[in-house]
Formats: sequence, structure tokens, C-alpha cells
Amino acid sequence: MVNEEKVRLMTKLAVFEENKGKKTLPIGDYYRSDYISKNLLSGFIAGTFAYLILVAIWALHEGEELVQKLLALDFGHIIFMVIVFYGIFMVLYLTVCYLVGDAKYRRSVKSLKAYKKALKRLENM
Amino acid sequence: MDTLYEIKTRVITFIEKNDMYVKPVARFILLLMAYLMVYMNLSYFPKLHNIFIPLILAVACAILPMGLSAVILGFYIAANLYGLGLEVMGVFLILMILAYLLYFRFSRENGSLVVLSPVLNFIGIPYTLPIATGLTTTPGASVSVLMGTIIFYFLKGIKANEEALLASEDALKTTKLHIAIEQVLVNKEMWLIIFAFFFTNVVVYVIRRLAIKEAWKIAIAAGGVIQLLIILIGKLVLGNPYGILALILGSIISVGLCFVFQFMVFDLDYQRIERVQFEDDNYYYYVRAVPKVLVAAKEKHVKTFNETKAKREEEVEREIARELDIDPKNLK
Repeated sequence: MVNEEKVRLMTKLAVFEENKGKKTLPIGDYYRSDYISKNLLSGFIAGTFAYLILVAIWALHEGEELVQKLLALDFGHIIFMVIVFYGIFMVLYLTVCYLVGDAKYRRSVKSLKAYKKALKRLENM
Repeated sequence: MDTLYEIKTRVITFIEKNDMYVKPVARFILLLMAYLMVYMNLSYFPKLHNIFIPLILAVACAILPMGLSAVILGFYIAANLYGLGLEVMGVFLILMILAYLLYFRFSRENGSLVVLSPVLNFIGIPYTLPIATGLTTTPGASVSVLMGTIIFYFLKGIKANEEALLASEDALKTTKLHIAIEQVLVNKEMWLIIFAFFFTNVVVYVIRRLAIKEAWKIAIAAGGVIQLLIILIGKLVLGNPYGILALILGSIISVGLCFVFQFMVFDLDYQRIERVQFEDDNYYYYVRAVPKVLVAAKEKHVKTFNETKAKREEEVEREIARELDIDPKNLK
């Protein structure tokens, strides 16, 4: 005899695993601090790379003017400004990374709890 | 009004019944429009000037995930831009890399918005998107609309400067680069639109979450007006009063479309037919789970006289529904 209630529960679990669970379940393998650190680390690399690209675009756009400034021995000032902006950019970007990671982790913990509860119920059936 | 609801129900039923086909077909139509736009306006690379290329790519991308389709479309555009010079293509590819590094690392679901945004910009009704995304998602998703907008304005600027780009010889590589970068960095109109879109999106999002009657409708109206005002004033300040009629018309149409969108989507918990397989000790199960179709649109009643009490009642109701494994809406 097919247990209808069991099928219903298993279907819900399978639908979860197919859709939301694909992203949520792997997050459950991490501790919160580990997950966020991982996010921040990859964010640091991606952000630095993006900033370098932005600086390169700016340098290409400024072109001659920049060369003149460099020739006028304003080198230190330019490097200083590039580093200051890098700091500001990274603080902003990493804050976003932190908030996104935190929100994702919290959401996944919530649905993981419900998922585990349902699994337990299934076990007891 | 009843006939409208009937139409709505029919559309929903149709979509739910043919879920397997509706999505790829919708994707195909969107991608085809995008590819044809590129084909008609940006065909700078003679070897790619063949109508079958966009057609085949659109068909192929219709069955791929939208994020990947957007990337393929990006490469198609880049290849076409190569006809204008390596520098122009390079700047476009750099834009794509930046978009990935800064945004798509977090969220890959909004690929369709990046494609939809330039298409609607081209048709003249981009004002729909900030409102529609404000209604359905969080402000984070609007970033993909903004990226689509940047790409549109970049391509528009390139198109406007095509003569200069084609005329400059190899010796003037820096000129090409300069023109290409300028389309993003110094394009004041683009930054105005970006600001207007983002601000509108946040306003719509905040209003539609308020516990007031007809929050969605107020959000759409307020969003439409604010957006129009920001762009209008911005255009006058920038000293670029061209296209104001198109702006006003586009805004009105966009707001109208948003009302249609609201009618179709509001209180519709988008569920689709799920096909799943699993097994237990005794059986293999091949299940097709069909969502219960909404017959009549439910009215949203907001009671604010005692919020905490109402909330508690709702929680109890939900708890009971969970225990009984039924839809909480059935208890009301």
C-alpha cells in the first residue's frame, strides 16, 4: 500500500531539493563564520581585480594628462590617491559582500531547519 | 471586471499547464529580439552579417540558463564590435568582466533582466523595469537592470560615433579607445537614467511593502511620477531637452504596463508543475505535482487596529495549517 501522506511529504522534500535546496543545502555545510570569511576572501580578490580594471580604464582615458602629471613628479600624490580610493572602494564592496553572505546564510539556516524537521517526520512515519 | 479575472485565470491556467514550453518560448522571443537588435544596428563585422547566426543562437540559448544566454549574447555583441576595432571590443569585454566581478558573483538569477533592459530601452519603454522589479524583487535585483542600461547606452554611444570609429586609422588607436571609454565614463544622460532608475526602484519597493490599502497601485503611481520628474528635471539641467515627448509617452505606457503586470502577478504565488523522482524501501515514485490554480483573485485585507494580535492569530493559523498539512488560506 502506498502511504499517501508519506508521498506528499517526500514530494515536498524532493521539490525543495530540486529547487531551493540546490543552493541552500551546500551552505549548511559551513559554520557561519567560515561561510562569511569565504565570501569576504573571494570578494577581496574579485574587488581588487575590479578596482585594477577601473584604474586601468581611468589611466587609459586620462592618457596624456596622466603622463604629464607623472612627468611633473606628481607620482607620489597619484599613487596615494589610488590607494586611498582602493581603501574606500574595498570597504564599501566588502561590506556588501558581508551583508549578502550573512543574509544568505541566515536564510539557508532557516530553511535547513524546516528541511531537517520534515526529514525527521518522514523517518518516524 | 469579472471578465478580466476570467482572462487572468485562463492565462494562469494556460501557463501552468504548459509550463514546460512557456518558459523556453518566452526566453526565445526575448533573445530573438535582442539578437535582431544587434544584428540590425551593430553589424560591423562582415563575417557575422548573416541572419541565420542570430536565429540559431536565439534558438540555442532558449534552452540554456538565462545567465549563460546573456554571456553568449555578450560575446556575440563583442564579436560584432570587433569590426570597429579591437579597442572597442576590449572596452565592452571589460564592462562584462566588471559586471561579473561586482554583481553576478552574488546573484545569477537575474540574467534575463540584463537582456530585457537594453531591449526595452530600444523600444522606448525602459521605465517599466525599475517599477516592475521594485514590485517583485528586492532592490539588489535592480542592479542587473542598471547594468543592462549601461550596456545599452554604451552601444548607443558607439553607434552614434560609428563614423569617427570607422574613419580613424590604426595610427589613432588611442582615439578609438578614448571614444569607447567616454561612452561610459562621461555619459551624463546615462548616469542620470541610472540614478532615476535606482531611486524609483527603492521608492517602489518601500511603498509596496507598507501596510496600506492598495500599496501596489500607490507604489506604481508614485514610482512612475518620481521617475518621470527626475529624468525630466535632469534632462533640463543637463541642457538636453530632446526626446521629452518620447519620455512622457514612454512613461505613461510603462505605468500602464505595470498596472497590467500588477493585475497578473499580484497575490499570485508563482508555482509551477514539478516533476520529481524519489524512492523509499518499497517503491520508486515518479511524481508530477500540480499546483492548485487560483480561481478568483483574493483581496488583500489590511487590519491595523491591533497588529500584534492579528499577527499572533495569523501565526496560530499557520501553525494549525502546517500540522494539518493544508493551505493556510483555506482556514480563512
